[in-house]
Amino acid sequence: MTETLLTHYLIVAAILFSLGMVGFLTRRNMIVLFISAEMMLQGVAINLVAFNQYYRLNGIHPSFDGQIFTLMILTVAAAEAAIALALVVVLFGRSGSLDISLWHHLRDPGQPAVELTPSISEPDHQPNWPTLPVAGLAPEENRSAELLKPITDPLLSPEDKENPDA
Amino acid sequence: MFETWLIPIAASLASLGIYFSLPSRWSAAQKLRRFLGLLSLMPLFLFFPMEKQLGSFGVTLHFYLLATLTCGSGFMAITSRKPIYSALWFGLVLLGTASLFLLIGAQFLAAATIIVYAGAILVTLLFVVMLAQQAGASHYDHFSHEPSLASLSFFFTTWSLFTALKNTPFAPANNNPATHLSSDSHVAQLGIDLFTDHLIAVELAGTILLVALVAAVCIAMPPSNDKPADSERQTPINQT
Repeated sequence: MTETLLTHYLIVAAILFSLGMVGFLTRRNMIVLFISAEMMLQGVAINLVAFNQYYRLNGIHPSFDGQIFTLMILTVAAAEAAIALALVVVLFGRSGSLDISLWHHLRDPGQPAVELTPSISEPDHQPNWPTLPVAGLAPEENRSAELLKPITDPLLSPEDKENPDA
Repeated sequence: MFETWLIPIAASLASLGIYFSLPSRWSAAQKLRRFLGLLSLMPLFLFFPMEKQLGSFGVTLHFYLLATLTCGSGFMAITSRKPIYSALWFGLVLLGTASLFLLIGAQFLAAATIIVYAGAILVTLLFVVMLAQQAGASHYDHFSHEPSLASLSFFFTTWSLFTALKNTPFAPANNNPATHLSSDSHVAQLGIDLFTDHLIAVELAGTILLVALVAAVCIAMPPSNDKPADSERQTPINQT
């Protein structure tokens, strides 16, 4: 493993970490907040694994400490996912929305309040919902004559039609 | 190519792209803005010289493909207006990360990332997205908290990290032909190291998972309705 490859891996890790940080600071949806936090953890994991493989494969420091730490990060991420998603479910049940700004009354004492933005006037697009006919009512046109015809199997041959019990 | 003075220029381009791609009041042309923002991440990749210093052509090609996939999916994940799309783009990020692990020779972590992260955490996230659906248009997905300050922090973070990477002298790699990236006994060696030197860490990790399981169940349990009969029920100790 070359030093350039190590630097490249660290660059990817830095980009992932910064993107996760921006997403965490910016978005208001609890799901996207959680995803950004996990993305930050992924960046750190790439960092650790790259360092570990570089130093181990080049014989500088023969140990698996970086990868084992990444396993611990994985464990803590799983624990965090369980608890965070349980909290998200409870908060959604209480407020009916995934907006984190609705809970801004839990902020620190010195922080300014968040302006709750008004609803957007128009949705993105009006989906073309399908309509079903109302069940239980008779249809408008009188189709009883057509419905009372004997049901015949169009795949039957004429001989079978004449002798159905053969 | 990897010049110190090019770093803030590329970082500023990327931060501008992120600023214009985050959801905002300009609901029109969101797709175009996201595409242009995705393109603005490319100057950050100019620091990858297309040379043979990466080891071999296969490693170079796969690394660039996977790095583009990972970073692009991460960008799309944080700028999606629907949380389900964010979750799916994050699934791609996990795939890219696991592939990067595999490319560098960490086979067990690649499998563990797919199994645990993409297979358990992401699926749980999808369940929560299903359970916590917002009926109708969600206005909060179309606004961001201070995108200008977030882009500024992205600029400074990226600048500082890239400069630190450039100026840090890593220990030189000895060109040992035996240090190939994939080894047959990698998982066995990792297992030996895990269960001899780091056994306590493994046990603690299991304890953390158990505690998190108990906590999640306690948090998400619906509140129990105390029936009047329960409180009036006489236990043998309280019977007078």
